[in-house]
Amino acid sequence: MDSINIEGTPKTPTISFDAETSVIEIKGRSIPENSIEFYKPLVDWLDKFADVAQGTVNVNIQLEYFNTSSSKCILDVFKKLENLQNRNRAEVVINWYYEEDDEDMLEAGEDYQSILKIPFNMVEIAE
Amino acid sequence: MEANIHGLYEKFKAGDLIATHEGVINPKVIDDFLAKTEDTLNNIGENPKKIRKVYNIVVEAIQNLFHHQTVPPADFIKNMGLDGDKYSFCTMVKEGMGYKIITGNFVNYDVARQLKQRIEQLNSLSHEELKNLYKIVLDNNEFTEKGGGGLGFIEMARKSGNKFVYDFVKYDDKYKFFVLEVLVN
Repeated sequence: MDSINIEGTPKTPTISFDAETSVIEIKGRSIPENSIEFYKPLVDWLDKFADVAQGTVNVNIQLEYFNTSSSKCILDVFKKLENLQNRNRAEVVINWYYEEDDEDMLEAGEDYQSILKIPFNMVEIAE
Repeated sequence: MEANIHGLYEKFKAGDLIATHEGVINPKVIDDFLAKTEDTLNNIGENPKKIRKVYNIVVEAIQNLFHHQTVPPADFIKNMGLDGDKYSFCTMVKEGMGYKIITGNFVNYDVARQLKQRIEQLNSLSHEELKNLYKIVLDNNEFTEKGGGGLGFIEMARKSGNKFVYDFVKYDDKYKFFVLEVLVN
């Protein structure tokens, strides 16, 4: 299955969804005006990935900023990963990165954690 | 009447101006406004934590305008020489140790009534209640017809930690001009 690699822009994050290594990464800024358009191919990819995933899927989320319409799309991504785990296809681990003084980003990760039933590692990055 | 709205804009941008825009809001305007905000706050040596908070709120405020801006009343278009364009404004000034983000846009009376209720509701909630509401709306699987998630106002209230200040200025019998002020300190 093909990977997705998208270079980041000032408004959209760097994306690396790799079926071979089972590593899924979203990094940078996610503040597009139309988040649904940006995230739809990623959510569709996860649907296909559900048929081939096995072992451990490592998900690395390292966002500097994200707008509220992205926040719903990111939840959609997490829900696809949660389904994958529920179907016993794979074990999913989400690593949520935040800068050491960015309490808002830590809290955003905790918000997702409280909604989902997949393990989150909160990973502090020294500035 | 247009002098009053433009006058409002002039009044709000008087002071220690960080970034400002009047007219149609498009992706390019948003990019420029955000870059100006970030560059200016970095250049004056503002605390990175506060820059992040302000930036987040500016993103929500200006994208909210982008999604909800409307074509203004016909006489306003004519008198302002707008050529049928949409109209709103967004401005940010330094206020004391903090920053104030002010947006303005035309709304009809129905929308004005709904917005007033919404803002009053959010102003009545504690930080914890805003957090809980955010999580409920985040997980409701709904997108608005404008493509938003219905979270923008909640996020601005939560991040600013201050109550919204707002006004609905009567323009004519169909339109009011909605002014929203968000303070980050």
